[in-house]
Amino acid sequence: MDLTVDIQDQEQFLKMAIKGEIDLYNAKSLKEQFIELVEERAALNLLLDLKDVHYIDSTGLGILIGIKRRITEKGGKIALLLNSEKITKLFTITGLINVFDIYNDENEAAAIFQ
Amino acid sequence: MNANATVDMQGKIELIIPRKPEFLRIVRLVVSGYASRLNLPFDEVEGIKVAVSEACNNAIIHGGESEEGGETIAIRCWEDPDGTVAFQVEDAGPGFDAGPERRKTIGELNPENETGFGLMLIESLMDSLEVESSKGRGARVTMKKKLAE
Repeated sequence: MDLTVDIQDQEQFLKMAIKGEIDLYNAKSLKEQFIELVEERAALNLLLDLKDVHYIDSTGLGILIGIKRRITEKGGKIALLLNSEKITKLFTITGLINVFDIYNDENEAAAIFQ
Repeated sequence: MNANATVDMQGKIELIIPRKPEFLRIVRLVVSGYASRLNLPFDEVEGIKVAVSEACNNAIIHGGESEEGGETIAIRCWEDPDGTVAFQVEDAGPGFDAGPERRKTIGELNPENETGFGLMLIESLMDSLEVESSKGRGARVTMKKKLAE
């Protein structure tokens, strides 16, 4: 398996840590997990930890945009944890650096849910 | 169906994969290995990996949208005499009109959209991009990266 997802309930937010490579092969199952999380809550605050994601393609980036829209439509918030230059570069190229709240420190990211 | 790779005497690699997303990792491994051999900086190797994988995504998604859609994708890597390293992705699908009106530029894309980032990434990460395609004849995408002199 090239992708693992760990979900922890942190009271004020849900932390979802993804490890591995997000691409066309596994994007559909990841999207389904995201949708399930959003659907089962009134409003979801999601801290998405992508620090151990070594590769993400346009399909994965598209899923992140879709999940942000679903979360914000229901009054929730989403923050991303990133510390890889190569992944951050893809967010910069696509302009998504300005669409998401992106942090490299977990405490700073968690503060937006207070 | 398995992936199949050949290398000719000039070092040109051709990798044939089934048109299925589970083979994308193999493509990335081959492409990054080939690019690393040319002493390209790490970030450029990573960029090439993303660009070629995006071209393969396109071939997987659109390369079989008709009855004559191909079952395989060819990925080729070679050092070009023009001082570049070239990567080519070819499918035998229905093809499309590759005219400039079809291609979106970075400025035209809205980051709130969920799709359309593939070509944007390829254009940003590579030094040149050529799309050859016409209805019924598949698509061939050639991407090049300049090598240090």
